[in-house]
Amino acid sequence: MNNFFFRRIFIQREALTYPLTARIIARTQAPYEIIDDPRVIKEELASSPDPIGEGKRILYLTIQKGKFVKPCPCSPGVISCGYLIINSVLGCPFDCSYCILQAYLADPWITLFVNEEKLEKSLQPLFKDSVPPGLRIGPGELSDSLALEPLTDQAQRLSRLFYRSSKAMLELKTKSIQIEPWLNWPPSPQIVFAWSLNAESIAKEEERGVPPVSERIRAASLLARKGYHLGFHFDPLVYFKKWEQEYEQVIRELLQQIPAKLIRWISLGCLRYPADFKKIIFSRFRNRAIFAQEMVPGRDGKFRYFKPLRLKIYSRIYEMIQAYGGKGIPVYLCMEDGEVWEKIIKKKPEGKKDILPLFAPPAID
Amino acid sequence: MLKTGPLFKMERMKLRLVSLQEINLEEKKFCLSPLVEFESLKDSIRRAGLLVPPLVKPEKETLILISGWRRVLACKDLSLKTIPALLVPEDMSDLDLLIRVIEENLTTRSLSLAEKAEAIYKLNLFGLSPERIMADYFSRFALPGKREYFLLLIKVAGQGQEKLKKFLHETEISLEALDLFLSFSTVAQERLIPFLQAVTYSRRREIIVNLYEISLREGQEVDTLLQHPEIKSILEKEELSFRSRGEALSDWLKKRRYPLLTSWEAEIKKILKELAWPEEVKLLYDPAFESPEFELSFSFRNYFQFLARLDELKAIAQKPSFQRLFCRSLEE
Repeated sequence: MNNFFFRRIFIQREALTYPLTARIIARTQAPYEIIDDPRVIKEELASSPDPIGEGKRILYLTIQKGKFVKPCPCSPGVISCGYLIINSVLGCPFDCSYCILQAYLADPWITLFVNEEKLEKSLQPLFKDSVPPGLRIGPGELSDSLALEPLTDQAQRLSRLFYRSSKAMLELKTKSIQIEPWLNWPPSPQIVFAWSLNAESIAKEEERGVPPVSERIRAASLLARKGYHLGFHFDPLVYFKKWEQEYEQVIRELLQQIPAKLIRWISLGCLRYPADFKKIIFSRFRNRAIFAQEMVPGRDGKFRYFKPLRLKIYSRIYEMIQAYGGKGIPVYLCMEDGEVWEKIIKKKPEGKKDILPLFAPPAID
Repeated sequence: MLKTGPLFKMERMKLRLVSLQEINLEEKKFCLSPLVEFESLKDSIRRAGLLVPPLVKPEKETLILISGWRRVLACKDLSLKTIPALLVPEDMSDLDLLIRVIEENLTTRSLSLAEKAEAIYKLNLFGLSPERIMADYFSRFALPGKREYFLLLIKVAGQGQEKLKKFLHETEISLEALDLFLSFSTVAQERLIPFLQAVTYSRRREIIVNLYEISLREGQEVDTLLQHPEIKSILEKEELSFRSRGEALSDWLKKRRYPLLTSWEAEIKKILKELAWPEEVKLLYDPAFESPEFELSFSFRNYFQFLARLDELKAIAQKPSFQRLFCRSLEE
């Protein structure tokens, strides 16, 4: 992601005096405008035939007046992984067809909260010894943790904070490959870099502006050589003609390049979307066959592959991970119910007390 | 502002008796409807005469009809020679007149989708910007204020075939379904229209969405799908009504779109039949097979009826096919 990706920057008047605002202005050539109300941006995007796509090129700097740390929203009836979200950036410059943020976020532009001091203060309770082991937190749910790094240095600032964490872990979930700063830093078990991976053809077709999967694995392997702990997310798993062949290829490559002992977790989640999402897909990503597979509404109203098909996909992917040397890697399922957990993982966590130990650092490193 | 606006100009309208021959019916720039049905009006005119004079504009020695198409055509059909008409001032712009036509229609009835499309297209053609059209008319037309729908309706009015416009005049359809329908070839559209017109709103949507998604998933054109022998045989069963054939098409497409789901539904029905499941006992299960839970309910009046029902269910549970109800895997 180069610095000049943004077409325009809007700065809320109140955000003008913050150091992060100054840093961003100094690092980009995009013209900026000081505004009092973000409705100005909404009006500008109203005439665009693709406000979501256009919004990805607009950065809005403002102040987080609400909470910086929130629990990851999970559907009712599914097993939560107890994740905490850092709400520091809303929106992602990458443009993946399946990305739920297109429907989830109220505004199509990228909002960056510049009050870093408040963010850092919000994280302080996580550094207490009373925090349960295995607690994970990261900014990669409502954005990509590293995509804006050359502009913000935010992941580096967060990393520095987590060197002093004894229990909670920072997960930098990303599809980006901008890892250079960390190559000169000592690794910490409390900082985990995690990549979203997919079958190469799905990545090529559905993930616009994102580095290829092989480059993501390469970036991960560079960090692995330095001793960093890593995580991987096969989410969304997509059902298509060559799904078994292509996922096997990625899993083989991943486990050949990354020592399994450095992989702290792998998550699996089949493609899913809320009912309203399809309207966005039809208007933004027409003729995408991945959304025309057999998907049915679940108890939470989200569309997923027909359950027996999901079980088949999870079971094959799980087998592949085990077969290529990943037997000891904790695998968990994203937004799945107890029945699926029992059938695939052979256990059904009953709340945080069961799920968090799955992510705790190994006793001996 | 008011003195040069349409309201002021309307004050200068004149009522005249005009010859029907003078009215140029070829010029349809103010006509919104693709199908002008006037039969029902003839009887009223025959009984009481023409109560509301049409609106016409003098232009190049003829009169351009602005509003009152049904009235004029009915009078013509009744072989009247002259009718009263309101002549609008010649300096009124096409846009002012079109706005008047739209307002007149909106106060008396709701417009069809084809008419809304035509109104939007012509407002744009006569100089109103897309933003103004969306701001001033979309909510009054009960349309979502999105630019993509503006473009869709402009496409319908500007490029749509007459058959499509008539279909959209007579049939309600969601804008999302219409968007997909327009991606089909004209041949496919025309082949489907009689069946889509005959089925319910939700079936109509299902047929279009399922055809689109099957075509996408299987990588074949909708035209090719419509040539599938089973679809052909459904559509060509002329002894059946369009509605019955439309419903059969909708069912066939659902099976093709959701093969696993429909086969599981069929399997459950088959198992219940094999078990001779008592009609009085309701067995409920998640229609999407997401939840593994079943729910059972039956009524009873006394202890003996209750025990008898339990014994019956126990006997059913002993049958080998009962276990198949709980199968959750594709391989099993």
